[in-house]
Amino acid sequence: MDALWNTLVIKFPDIVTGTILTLVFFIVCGILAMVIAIPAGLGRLSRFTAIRAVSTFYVETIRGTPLLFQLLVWSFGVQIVVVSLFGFSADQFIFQILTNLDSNNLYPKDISLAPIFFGMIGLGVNYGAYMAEVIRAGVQSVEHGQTEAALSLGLSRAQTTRFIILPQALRIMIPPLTNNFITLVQDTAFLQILGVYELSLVIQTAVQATSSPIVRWGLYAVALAIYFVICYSLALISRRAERRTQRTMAGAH
Amino acid sequence: MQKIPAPVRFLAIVAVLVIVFGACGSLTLGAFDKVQTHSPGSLLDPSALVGNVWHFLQETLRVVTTATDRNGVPLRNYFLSGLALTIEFCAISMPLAIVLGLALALMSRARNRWLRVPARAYVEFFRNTPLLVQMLAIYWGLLFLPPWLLNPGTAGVATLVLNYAAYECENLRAGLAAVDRGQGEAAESLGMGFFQSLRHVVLPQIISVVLPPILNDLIYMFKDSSILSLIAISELTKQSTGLGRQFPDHYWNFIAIGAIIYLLLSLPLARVARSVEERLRSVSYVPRMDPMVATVWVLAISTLIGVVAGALADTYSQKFGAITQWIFGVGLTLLLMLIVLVVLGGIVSLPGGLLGLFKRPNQPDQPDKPDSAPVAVAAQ
Repeated sequence: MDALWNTLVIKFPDIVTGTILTLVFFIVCGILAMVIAIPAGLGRLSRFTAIRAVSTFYVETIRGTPLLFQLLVWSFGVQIVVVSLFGFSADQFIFQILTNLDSNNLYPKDISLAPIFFGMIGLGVNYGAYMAEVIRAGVQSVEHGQTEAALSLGLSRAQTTRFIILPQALRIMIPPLTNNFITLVQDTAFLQILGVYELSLVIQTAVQATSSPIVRWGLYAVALAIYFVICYSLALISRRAERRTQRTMAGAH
Repeated sequence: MQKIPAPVRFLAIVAVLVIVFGACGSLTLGAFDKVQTHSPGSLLDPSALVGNVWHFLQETLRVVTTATDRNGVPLRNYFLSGLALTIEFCAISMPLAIVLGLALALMSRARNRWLRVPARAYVEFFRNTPLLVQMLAIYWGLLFLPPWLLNPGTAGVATLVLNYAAYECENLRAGLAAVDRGQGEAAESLGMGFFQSLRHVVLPQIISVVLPPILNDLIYMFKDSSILSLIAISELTKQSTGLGRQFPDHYWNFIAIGAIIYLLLSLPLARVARSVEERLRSVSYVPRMDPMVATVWVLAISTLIGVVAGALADTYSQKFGAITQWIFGVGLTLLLMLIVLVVLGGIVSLPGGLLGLFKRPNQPDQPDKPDSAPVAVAAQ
């Protein structure tokens, strides 16, 4: 027990940093995924074959292959492609952004940010495909007559999508979208294979440094508890939001 | 919007993948070439790009058919053994996850709180923590066990089953909630026992509700089994990316083959799931086969697939596929499940029991229908 306590005290700052990193990845990848998902999901319902084909290709290939596989491809393959094609280096890119923001002293001295950069892109692109499916299903669940009615009232297609379909569809999408966000929190653990020191890798390095089962289980219990608190609070928020929407929808009738 | 036939769509996807990956591969050719016989191509030169993609296609075919590694082992064996292992893990884990998920679903519908609370705690715990950390905890945390009980194979089976049992429990619970509780009671009043009424009255009705999400979960498991590469199981992801590390010149060829194998299995499965869902929605479907018999069939067939795939993997990699390993994996899973249920149930019921002391006495201790609110949420 003493050994466990000592390890936890020593590792406490790392664990806090890891948790913060996990939350940062969750927020950034979630925003990236939504930014990709909305055009991709609407694109699957487009009138134009080319747009439909591109978004279908994106969604089906991403959903058909494992996240781990994709992350390995992003970090190893794509990185080399963009370097040899455009001379693009993620480290230089981030440094440039920080310089433009007048804060390049934030740039870490001894680690490369490239795995974080490509890992976040991979995770965001992956979840973009899953969320695109949610958005497509939500839009499709809005009755077709509503589109026709809006069009016959003289609204343009873009206006119909924006004012008629999306507000209703969003309400239906909230529960599956939150489910996706919950799994996104869990899947930030995958970034450990790229050597990003988020929560699970912090714990894993500490675990591999000891041989005592008690210390190991204590560390894993801490990690699982932190993930559980984040994900379960998201689940509770989603349940409450869902109940509220059900009530307002029931009141509207 | 006219429908494009599925095989055509699949072939189109594969063709685009090959072109994109071929372009990537040809553009990075020079990057690893020490003698610089190839120079990196340019996106702006279409004729060179076409030639490069054609070359890429030929190289990919060569990898699939004749190419060997430094020891003379055909490269296709890497992919075959990886694929076999992936299928094997899914075929062993999914039926077991469904059976344990059914047990959990029945437990979480029970009126006895000593059954209900641990089952709910189990499900919430496994659904709200990362599969990756669960796997690492099972493998690294239990390394003190003897190696015949804990090795990558048994730990992998245990992880997949324990995690997916929680998801299957939610699916089955939604299905059970769709059947009126009165039916089970009516069956019991006709003299059927609990398991008889479950088998003859309740389960046949829920199959149409639970089959589509279970098939979807099978696809998810198929993809999630890629994390087993982190505990040194050389399944498909590990094999294709590992080959890419060994022969960086052909990185994109291996990646393309791996991606196409994954798509070849998951896209048709998704298609089957969708068509099953549509067919079941259109008619009120009651299966003619006794669900018990059906379950036994599914178990038998998937075990057969697992054993055959295991034997294949065994010939290729000489490491995995021992049947005893799967038996010990199942044993380890059941043991862990029992421990987790007891521990989590204890953790959850202790504060609950303490809080119960402060409750006002005129309120019922527990709601009579445990499945009223949460099930309505899950059923959507």
